[in-house]
Amino acid sequence: MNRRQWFQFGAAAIGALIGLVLAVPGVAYLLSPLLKRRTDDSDFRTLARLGDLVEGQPRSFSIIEEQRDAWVSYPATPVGTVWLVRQPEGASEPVLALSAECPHLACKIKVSGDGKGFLCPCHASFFELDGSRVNRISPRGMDTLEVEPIDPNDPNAEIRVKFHRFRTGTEEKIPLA
Amino acid sequence: MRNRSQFSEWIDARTGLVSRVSGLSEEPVRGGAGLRHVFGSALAGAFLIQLITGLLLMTSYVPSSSHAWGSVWFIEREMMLGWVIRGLHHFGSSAVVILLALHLVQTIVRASYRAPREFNWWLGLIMMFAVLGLALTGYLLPWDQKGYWATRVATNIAGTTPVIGPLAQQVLVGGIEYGNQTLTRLYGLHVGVLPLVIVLALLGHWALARRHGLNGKDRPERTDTYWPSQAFYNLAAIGLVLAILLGVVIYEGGAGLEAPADPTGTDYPARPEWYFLALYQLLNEFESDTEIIGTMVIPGAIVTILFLLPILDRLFPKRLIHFGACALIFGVLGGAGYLMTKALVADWNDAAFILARQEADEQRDRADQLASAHGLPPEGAGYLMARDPLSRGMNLLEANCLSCHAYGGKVRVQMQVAQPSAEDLAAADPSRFADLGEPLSDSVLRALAFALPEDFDAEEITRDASDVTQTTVVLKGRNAGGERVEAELVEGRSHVIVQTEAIQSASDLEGFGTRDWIRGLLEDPSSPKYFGLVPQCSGMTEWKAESQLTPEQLDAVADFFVEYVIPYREGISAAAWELQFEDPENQHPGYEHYMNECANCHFWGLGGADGTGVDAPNLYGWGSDTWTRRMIEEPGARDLYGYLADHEQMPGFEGQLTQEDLDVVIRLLKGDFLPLRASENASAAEPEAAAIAVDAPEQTD
Repeated sequence: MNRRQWFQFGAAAIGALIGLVLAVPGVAYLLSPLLKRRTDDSDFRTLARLGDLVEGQPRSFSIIEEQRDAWVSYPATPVGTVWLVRQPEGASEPVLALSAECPHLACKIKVSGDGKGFLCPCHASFFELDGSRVNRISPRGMDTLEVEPIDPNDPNAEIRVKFHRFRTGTEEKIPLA
Repeated sequence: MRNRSQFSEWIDARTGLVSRVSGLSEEPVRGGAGLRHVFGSALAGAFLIQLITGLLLMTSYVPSSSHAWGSVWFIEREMMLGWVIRGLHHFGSSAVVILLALHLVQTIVRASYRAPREFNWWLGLIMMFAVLGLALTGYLLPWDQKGYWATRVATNIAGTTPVIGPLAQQVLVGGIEYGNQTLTRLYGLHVGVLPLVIVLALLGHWALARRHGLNGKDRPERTDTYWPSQAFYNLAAIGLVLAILLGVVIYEGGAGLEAPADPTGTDYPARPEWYFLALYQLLNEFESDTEIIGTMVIPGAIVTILFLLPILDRLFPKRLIHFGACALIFGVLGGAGYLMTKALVADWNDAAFILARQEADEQRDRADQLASAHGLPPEGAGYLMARDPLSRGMNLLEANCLSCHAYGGKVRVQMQVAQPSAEDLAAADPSRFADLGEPLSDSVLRALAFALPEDFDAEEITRDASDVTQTTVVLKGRNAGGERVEAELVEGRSHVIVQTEAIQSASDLEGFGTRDWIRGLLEDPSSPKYFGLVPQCSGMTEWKAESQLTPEQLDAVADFFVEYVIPYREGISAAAWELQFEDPENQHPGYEHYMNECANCHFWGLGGADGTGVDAPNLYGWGSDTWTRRMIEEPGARDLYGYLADHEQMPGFEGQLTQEDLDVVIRLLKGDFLPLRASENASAAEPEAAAIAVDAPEQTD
């Protein structure tokens, strides 16, 4: 190795080292939102009593939660909406809980005009009352949420639902961490 | 020309870029490659590091007076390696300033300001001011205590400029008050205007440097080209700078962040970054009527001479001017070093500064703890401490209550620092404390004699030499008013810290409004924690002397308070409240004892008996926020302690405290706050005990 090659090699090596020392923390810093996963601390929460629901008439309920926006903590405010649908007698689950977040592009789903199904107003995705797709705009049906088992004969039974968000635009229902 | 790939040829044919770069890289380095040419490149490299880390910080920082602190805290504590990025940027500013000084000195020593490099020199000076501007605006941006107070000082210095000063200050601050507009303006300067000035000037500076070549004697035997030999040295220098920076960042654990800006605080020891410390001290060297000499005239004269240097060089003998320029730059650096040392030594010897610094450190740690535990309130960082009972509440309690009351056994302690001069020491009488048992040096005895008044009654003196770095002497005693006084000094230093404890003449407020407090009162009303030091409130003690209630019955009364009295809700009338007890089936076990024993003296809303002629406050809602608030605001009200003579009553604070302040004080009394971190309590045993207590119920399951 002559003097010139030695300098070439040294300059390249030091340059690469400098780049690395800046790039590693820089990339980690920018990717913080990916690297830091929030633990799933969502829990069942009471939304209504069984007697509040009438078969064939979905009702929406707000999910109220304290919110953390980076460094700011906000007091309890609505963070999401859940549609509760009373199922006919004899169904395995007396209540169906559907997230109001459209699996297409996360607009908010409302009850359609005739009250016989759901509609997402952004891109006209239609859903049945059980959340299944009517047209093929959304890649999957509405996302069902876990409901704590309840006694179908007790009108005072509390309906407790675990709220979750799911990735949009996929056929599969993938929970967001 | 070396072999090029087809791709390079293709690019070169269209842009000429490859030829241009290789032309530059093949440029000969006059006098051979070497370390003496690295300063400019190292400076540019350090600036580039600032540019990169600065852009990264921009992705997370918010220039708002409510959220700047929170965003910086988030970068520092929550973002992956954010503390490294911010640390590099923070200490990188020091590197830029140091390299700038080296580059400037080298340029002057080599007389590179001479023709034909005048424009290079002027561009360099412009960049120097832009860099100093960046350094100044940079440390204001976190809007912590340091940034806030430094902004005030710096903009007020700008305000003393003759004629345009006040206007310039108002424009810079964005008004008269410091706030969002100040921060957005400074931010605009820091990330937009000043970097743009530097980048443009740097392009010109660099192009001119290429045009004129490096300044050095030709050495024909050395035929180095810029690439790779000089590039190697330059990169090595930048690498060294970065390595040192990284070392400092890791050693220091990042840049640090003071407590959020508190415009109402008075004792924050504001000091500028080290590179402005000399200017700060220069300011202190002048009285107020001549201050402008320190802030404007001297710095202005130096700057003017530097700008005129290439012109002076033509007007006067070159060697004379060169000698003068060298003398000036070394004089300025030497003077700056002297002033900086003087400022540091002054602070090191200034006990008041050290105490204020300690308090600022405690606030910094508390702010970090609060933010980690709960995040920031939506209103912003200013409310972080203002809503913390241990911070704001304790300050209010100390200022307003602890001259009579105690909190957790502590009364108000006034701290004073006696800083005797040499003459003071010579005049002091060393024999006053000479016969207290400890062998003390003459200077210690004189300092103590200076610090303590003649009528001080010494009781005990201790000399602690267990710490190898310093020996501490503590003298305890009482002053003429009977207050406990403690004087402390470190051998070798002349200042004495004198702490005077107020004399407790009222109850201990820790836990007021909780079950523990009422239960303790029922157990022993004559304890100094309750009414032992308040002879005018002897009623409870008299009751205790005759009461037959067992500890279990007292427990029941305390439980009754917790369940029915303290959770008082505004709007419910006493009569409606008492209806709860009409039904004997639902009666609380404590209610009966309460009615039999307490209601003889105490009013109880509408009910209760006051036929005995014994005076006592109305207990309806005792311990609730409403009751305690009234007790603070209007203790002399008829239903509270109005039965006492005026001079026996607690003074009322109506109109002196805001509702928010009353709330934090009441929360402090009730113990409703985030406890200090375990490590700061200095008792390692407690968390263990707590862990065992938590485990216990699981075992019984």
